[in-house]
Amino acid sequence: MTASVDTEPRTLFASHRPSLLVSVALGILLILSLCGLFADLLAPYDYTDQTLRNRFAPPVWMGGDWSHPLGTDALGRDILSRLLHGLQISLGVALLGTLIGAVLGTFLGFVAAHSRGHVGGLIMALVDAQAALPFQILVLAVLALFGNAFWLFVALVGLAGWETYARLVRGAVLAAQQEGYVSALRALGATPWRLYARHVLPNVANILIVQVTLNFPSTILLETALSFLGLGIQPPLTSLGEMLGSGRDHLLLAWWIAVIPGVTIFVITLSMSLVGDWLRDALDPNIDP
Amino acid sequence: MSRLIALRVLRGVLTVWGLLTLVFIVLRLSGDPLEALLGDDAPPEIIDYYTTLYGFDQPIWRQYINYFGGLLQGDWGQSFRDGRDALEVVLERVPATLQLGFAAFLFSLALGIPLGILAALYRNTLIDRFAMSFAVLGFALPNFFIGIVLILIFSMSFRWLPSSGTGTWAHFVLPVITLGTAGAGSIARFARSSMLEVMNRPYMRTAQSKGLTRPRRILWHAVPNASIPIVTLLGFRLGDMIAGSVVVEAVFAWPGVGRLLVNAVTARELAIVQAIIVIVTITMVTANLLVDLVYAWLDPRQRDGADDRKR
Amino acid sequence: MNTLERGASAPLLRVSGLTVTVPSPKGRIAAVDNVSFDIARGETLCLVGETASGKSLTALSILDLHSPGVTTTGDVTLDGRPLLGLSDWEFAAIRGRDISMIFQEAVPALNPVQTVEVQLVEAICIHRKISAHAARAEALNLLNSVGIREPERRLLAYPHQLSGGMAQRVMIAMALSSQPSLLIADEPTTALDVTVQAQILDLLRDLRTRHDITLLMISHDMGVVAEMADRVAVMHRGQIVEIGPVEQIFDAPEHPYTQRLLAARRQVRWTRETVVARTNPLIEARGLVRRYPNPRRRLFEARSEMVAVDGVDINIGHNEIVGLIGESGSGKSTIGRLLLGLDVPDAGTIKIDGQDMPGGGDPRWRALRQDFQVIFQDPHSALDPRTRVLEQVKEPLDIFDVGANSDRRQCAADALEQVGLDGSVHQRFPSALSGGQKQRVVIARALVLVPRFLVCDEPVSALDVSVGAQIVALLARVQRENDMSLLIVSHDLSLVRTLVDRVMVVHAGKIVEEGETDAVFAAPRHPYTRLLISSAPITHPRERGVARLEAV
Repeated sequence: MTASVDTEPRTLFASHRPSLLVSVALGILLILSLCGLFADLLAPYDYTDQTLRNRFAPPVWMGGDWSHPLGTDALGRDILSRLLHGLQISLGVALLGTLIGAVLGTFLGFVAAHSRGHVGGLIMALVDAQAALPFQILVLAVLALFGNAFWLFVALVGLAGWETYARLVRGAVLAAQQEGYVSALRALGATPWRLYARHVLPNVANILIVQVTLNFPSTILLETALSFLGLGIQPPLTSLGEMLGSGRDHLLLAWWIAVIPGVTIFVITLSMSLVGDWLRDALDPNIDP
Repeated sequence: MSRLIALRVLRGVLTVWGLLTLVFIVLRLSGDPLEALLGDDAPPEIIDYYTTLYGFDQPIWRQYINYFGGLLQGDWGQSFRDGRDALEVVLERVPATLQLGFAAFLFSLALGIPLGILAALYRNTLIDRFAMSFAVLGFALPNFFIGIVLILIFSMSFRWLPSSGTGTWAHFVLPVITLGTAGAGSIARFARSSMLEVMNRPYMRTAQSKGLTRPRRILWHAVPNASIPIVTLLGFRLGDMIAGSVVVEAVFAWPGVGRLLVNAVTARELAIVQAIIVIVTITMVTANLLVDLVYAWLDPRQRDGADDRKR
Repeated sequence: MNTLERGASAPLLRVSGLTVTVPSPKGRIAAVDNVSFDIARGETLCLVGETASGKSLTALSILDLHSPGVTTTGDVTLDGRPLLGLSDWEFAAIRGRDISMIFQEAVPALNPVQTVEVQLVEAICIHRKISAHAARAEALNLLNSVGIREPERRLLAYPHQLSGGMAQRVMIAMALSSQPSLLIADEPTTALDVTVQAQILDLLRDLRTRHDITLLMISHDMGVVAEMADRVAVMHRGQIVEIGPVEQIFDAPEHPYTQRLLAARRQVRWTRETVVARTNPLIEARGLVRRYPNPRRRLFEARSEMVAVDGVDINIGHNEIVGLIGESGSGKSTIGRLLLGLDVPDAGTIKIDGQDMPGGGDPRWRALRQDFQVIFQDPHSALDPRTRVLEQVKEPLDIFDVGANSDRRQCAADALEQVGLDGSVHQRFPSALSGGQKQRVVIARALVLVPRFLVCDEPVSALDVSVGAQIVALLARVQRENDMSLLIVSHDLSLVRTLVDRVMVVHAGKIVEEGETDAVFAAPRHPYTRLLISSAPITHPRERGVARLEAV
């Protein structure tokens, strides 16, 4: 029995209103993105300005003053300004990385599903190889070989997630090819291009959107983890992970230097995961993690 | 079945071979390794000496063969700094990482699987909500941050547990929690969804119509079926565990492979990085092979070669 | 009340005022609405109805096997003992011991990771104190009694290694393991081929007399009802609209819905005036062969092949309706695909309009796409869920770039009109249509290019009987109106019998018999054709007792 009660394909906001928690998460993400986008305007100081006389100033709620609301770090740099720039870099790298992975993976997924011969086999072998190796280790190896450069790092972060997209898209396309309407259109003589662009892609798009939101936190965690280890974003640039990494040496004296960026990362990944889960429920009830 | 295993082994070997070839190519592409070793102002005779020593003057195919020959004989290159055998340097770090990884793996299984199953059985109750919140938090919390917060609370404020080093069981507590939490969360989540799916299968209704009580239906019919997809996940979790150990070992000054890797990358000790990559690859390939075998053992459909697992 | 009296008058099962509500996006719906019936000891009651009539929910309520969220009110008593409201533990003692149940799809109803033996022994041991050794012997006995050959070997099999019919026999064995007084069978033969269905029905009849079982059977098929029922309860939209002895229901149905159900089965031959031109056939295929490789199980095993189509000759004349009839896996669908150029034969030739056709992928096949159309079995998946109806019907015109865009819309609207759908459906999405409407849209999409040849692969098997009858009438009409040739690929004898001029019987990739429809049905020559025809359910209970042929 396949009696379906829906009258229209699910429309996002009609069938699944965001809960309060999800709305808050969306709001936080919006505010943080704006902060990152306008970091240069919002930051009270240059994030590299050192004031050695004013090192380890506590944030306001710990007795600090409003000249440095979040305090200063070991070199006397304003933490608020550094946080804003860290946000800019971390969100920017994660966004770029996610997009690179999504576009590359989606494309290769379509190719793999379309040409099931040697090309498809090769792509799937690459997918399996990547899935079989912890990518973080590979990134470290490449960084060891080539040294660290910003765009190389972004490209590496982008390569981290492509195989998930490729596998998802290939699976979805192969499943769609089994669907009656695709067989019917192919029997009608529709070209593959028409099939993919007009019928398969729209039916796969939901899965992709959900995967992007679910993949974004992993990307940000990869960047911050590497920067935390001192192998990612290099000074004088800063990222949330780099701030946390350099704050780690002063935990006893000034724990907030590490905890403030840590909490920020956590808030971003948590909000994004909540939004991703909501999108998954709203757009595609059929896939599970 | 035998065909399946043979294909998996072959694929594993190919993965390792492909990766080594990649490493070889990249090593040769990355510029002159001697420059990194000796600096640009080394006298020509010394450069010549090392060029002959490492075989850089030979044709590329010859170097390729020598490279694999050396690997097979256990000659994985030397540490540039102290000239020690790279494989030896890595292997002496392996036990510490294995201990930590194994303990964290057990921790995430012991926490994640029961939590996921309970969440599925008591769907939409407090237990379910708690388990799912835990899963989301576990995924969203960066492990380096968990580590630092744990150190702040338990080592610095309360002074209950050591923040670094190895030796006693107390040294294990914080690193294991740090490394295992994310895994426990995702295992709980996956176990829950597998369990929910199985509970809706027609054979569960059959079990009920036979007159089985709920505990028996769950233990004898639901759990064995739900465990099949969970096993697949474990293979992937292992990779995340290895990646996580790099960070966790750095946070807790754990003398394992992960920390060695970070130091080697910083110092651009290529031979050691290469040795670590190869060992990690072999570990992962073996682990995935084991997962496939366990999978086939658990699922009779798999034994007959009907492979519908890969989505 | 003494026992004698009770045995004579009190029913075994009494259902009264049963109401089942299920959650839906529009709030809770009463899917079963105040249903009452009795079943006497030894009797067979058939609960008959179409999709979503509530018949299965009624059956599940008796054993309280509902999914979470479904609520039940009313009374169900077994031998005077109330069942509804029992705890899981109390119910567990009744399920399988006093009342057993078998389901539509038997393979997924068995636990895939346990052998038949484990599952049978479990069923035996729950309700009886018995040693493991004795339970195994009992399991063997049970498999023997449900007619499974080589029971020792089958005990060790896993469910996926069983055919659908064999799995259903295992389910029946399991259901009977504790000699229940009531067996509920929920569409037990719907998923099976017609010859297997006949065997399972025979088995159920045989067991019913041997074990003195009371049977509650759920079905959508009046043929199965005619074969099995003592009494019939007709369900429609959650209510029992008519209940009575089987002869009365078949001879003098009172409720209009019952009359419609029976009318849908009546085999009206569609009269045709058009003359079939067979001398100059549209399609002439000779010696078609199609093989598929089997998956290899061992490393160095030679690759074996499954021959799906094994030397088939087919002629299809202009304006002719040809039927390909056979069971699942017979290769009949592959033949259809080969004739359309959607699959490439390994050997054989196809001539169209007397012209030799090249192998697949040739542009000449692509040109033929306009003239050769196909309708697939499942209308629910045949339409893109995200495109509006008119747009989907228009799409073939876009693909072949026929006419101007505004004309295309008009053409699509005309095609929809021809299949009986008006402008109100144009802007709908497929999910807002019923199954029958979807199939009409699919037919309209095939007709919009005015094809000369239309292949219908199981055109009605996913539809309810009454809806299917309408679609058959529609196909007969559009064939007449459009002067096209039809190839009907089906397992459904009555469909083929009512619609086609000439029938071909496919068995194991070969055409075993071919001829004018009436001649083949009246005097089948090949043993397989005879088996197939004699396996079809009877049309009226009075035909019971006619000897059935043994399986070949």
